[in-house]
Amino acid sequence: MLVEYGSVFIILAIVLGLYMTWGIGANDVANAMGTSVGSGAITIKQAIIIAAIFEFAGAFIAGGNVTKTIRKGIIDPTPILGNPEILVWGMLSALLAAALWLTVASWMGWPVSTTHSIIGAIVGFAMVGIGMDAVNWPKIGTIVISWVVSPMVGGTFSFLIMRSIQRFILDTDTPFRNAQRYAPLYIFFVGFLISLVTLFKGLKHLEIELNIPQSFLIAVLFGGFVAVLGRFLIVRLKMQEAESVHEQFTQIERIFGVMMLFTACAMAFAHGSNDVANGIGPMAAVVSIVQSGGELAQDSALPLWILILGACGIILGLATLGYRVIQTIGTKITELVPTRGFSAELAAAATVVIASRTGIPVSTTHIIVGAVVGVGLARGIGALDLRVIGGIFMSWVITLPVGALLSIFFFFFFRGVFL
Amino acid sequence: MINISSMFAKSPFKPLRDHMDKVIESIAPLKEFFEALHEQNYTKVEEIQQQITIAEEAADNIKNEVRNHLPRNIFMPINRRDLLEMLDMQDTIADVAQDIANLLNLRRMSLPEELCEDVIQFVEKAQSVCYMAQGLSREFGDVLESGFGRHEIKKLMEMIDQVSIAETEADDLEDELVRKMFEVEDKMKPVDVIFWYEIFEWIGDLADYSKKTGSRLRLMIAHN
Repeated sequence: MLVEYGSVFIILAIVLGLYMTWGIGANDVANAMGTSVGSGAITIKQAIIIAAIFEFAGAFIAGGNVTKTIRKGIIDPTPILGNPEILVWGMLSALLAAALWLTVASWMGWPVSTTHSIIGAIVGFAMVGIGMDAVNWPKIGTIVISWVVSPMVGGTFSFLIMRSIQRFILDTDTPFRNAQRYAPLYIFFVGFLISLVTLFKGLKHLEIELNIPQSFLIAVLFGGFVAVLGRFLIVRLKMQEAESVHEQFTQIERIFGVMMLFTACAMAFAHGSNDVANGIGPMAAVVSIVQSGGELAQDSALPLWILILGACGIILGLATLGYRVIQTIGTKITELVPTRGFSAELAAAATVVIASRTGIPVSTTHIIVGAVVGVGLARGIGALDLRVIGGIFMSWVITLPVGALLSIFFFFFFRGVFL
Repeated sequence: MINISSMFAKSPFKPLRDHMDKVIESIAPLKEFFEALHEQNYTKVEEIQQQITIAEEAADNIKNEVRNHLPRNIFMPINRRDLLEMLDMQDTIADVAQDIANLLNLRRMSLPEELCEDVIQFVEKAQSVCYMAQGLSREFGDVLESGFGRHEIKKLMEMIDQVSIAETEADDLEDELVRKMFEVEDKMKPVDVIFWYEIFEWIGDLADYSKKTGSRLRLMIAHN
């Protein structure tokens, strides 16, 4: 079976995996980049370049952990060791189901999450195709809890960051000077945090092993490097301290506009590290089963070319459709000024990177929503429409079962075709 | 896909400031209006009355716009009701300006010579209180930007106090003006006296509602 149709399965997996990552690049990336564009910190063109580079970097450097979870953390294949093709059909159905559902949903403008679609789809076929016991329920429990917790963590982070900006910069006697003084520190924090979380035992697939002090040292150096770079960019604005506080606030927003370049990179990196897995996780599972000749229990490493393929898929989606979505979102989020956007993005990026470091597939979009609410709670945003929170709950209630049902349907379809 | 732009509602604060700017447009020509009245230049009186009506209507439109875009489930850094009440206070200033211009255009009373200077002075004072209230809505923008920082709030509170003080000064001018009118009331038509008294009250209301705009703003910031 596997030998006979092996290349068919692999081609199907690649096509569907690309389709899925293309969809992520076309739609999902926009949420990650929209805040930067909306606040006027970067142009659409810059957003696309940043997204292309850092989505790729995130997927390539840090995308392995979540991929591993989706690939083999959710299902226990022990009951079907003798029938590896079941898992192949299942993963293909899950991909097809999730990608199709995302296409329909984004076409209709429904609020769904890529992560939730793929998890729902995998659980769906596993329950029916293998059995209830095949699903690693404790792991699913952790993932579902993380879906509630992660936006809250993002919100708490952004609240604290916003508050610190108010405390140390905006609500002081000399806001402009304080902004200049503390800006490199904030930028350092962006670089340090993202690189530390990434380095921390995270580069195995690139055959780089660092111990804790080494990781720290590199993170500090990297943070220092971006801080110096940021400082240079801010000095280049050539601003003199304005007389009125009102004008100083405008100047501060310009400084934070520069700082948002860094959080935009961090956000794209974080998104790539978390969301590429939704497309390539099932694809990697299929490839590894076929290539090993039906071995399910082995602990094969994730082939690098799959990560690269996924990263390319995201960029393809971004280039074909994503830039338009970014533009639409960007023009609508003008209320989010750079100080606020910085807080929300830094918080969201940190939360996503930490989550993907632990291998938990979270929803980037939900975390961004949480982070924006956090800024709002710090009295930073004019008006928020909290009905979106309702939309998030809807996306849970709808996406999980729909993803599951669709993937069950496709599972039987594939079984019918290949059996 | 959740499009995160859908969580950003239209902020009411920019329209709140625009509304106040329109309100100021309605009171700004009042001095000229009274001067025209004194010169018995009734084409100009009517012209200015039209001008005031247009500004008042524009303010009304912004007010309704804000109200319509402020459903209950919107999350703001301030209390929704406080904001709507402040908007109402601002709007009343324009309403009063329109009432003054309308009445004096319908019942064209010439200004008694003895009072002319004082009336103009009183109008100017009331206008200046309105301008101070406009300054409040500008400073409120900085309070928002600072995330309700104590520095900016303190500044705004001091400005609100100054509006109150200026309003009391306007009140004193009004008392003095009314007293002066009563001294010369025998030379005036009795019905004119009644109407002028009413008009003076209304001019005083311009300052009064400016002060009330300030106190609503104070409440808005103090809440939470």
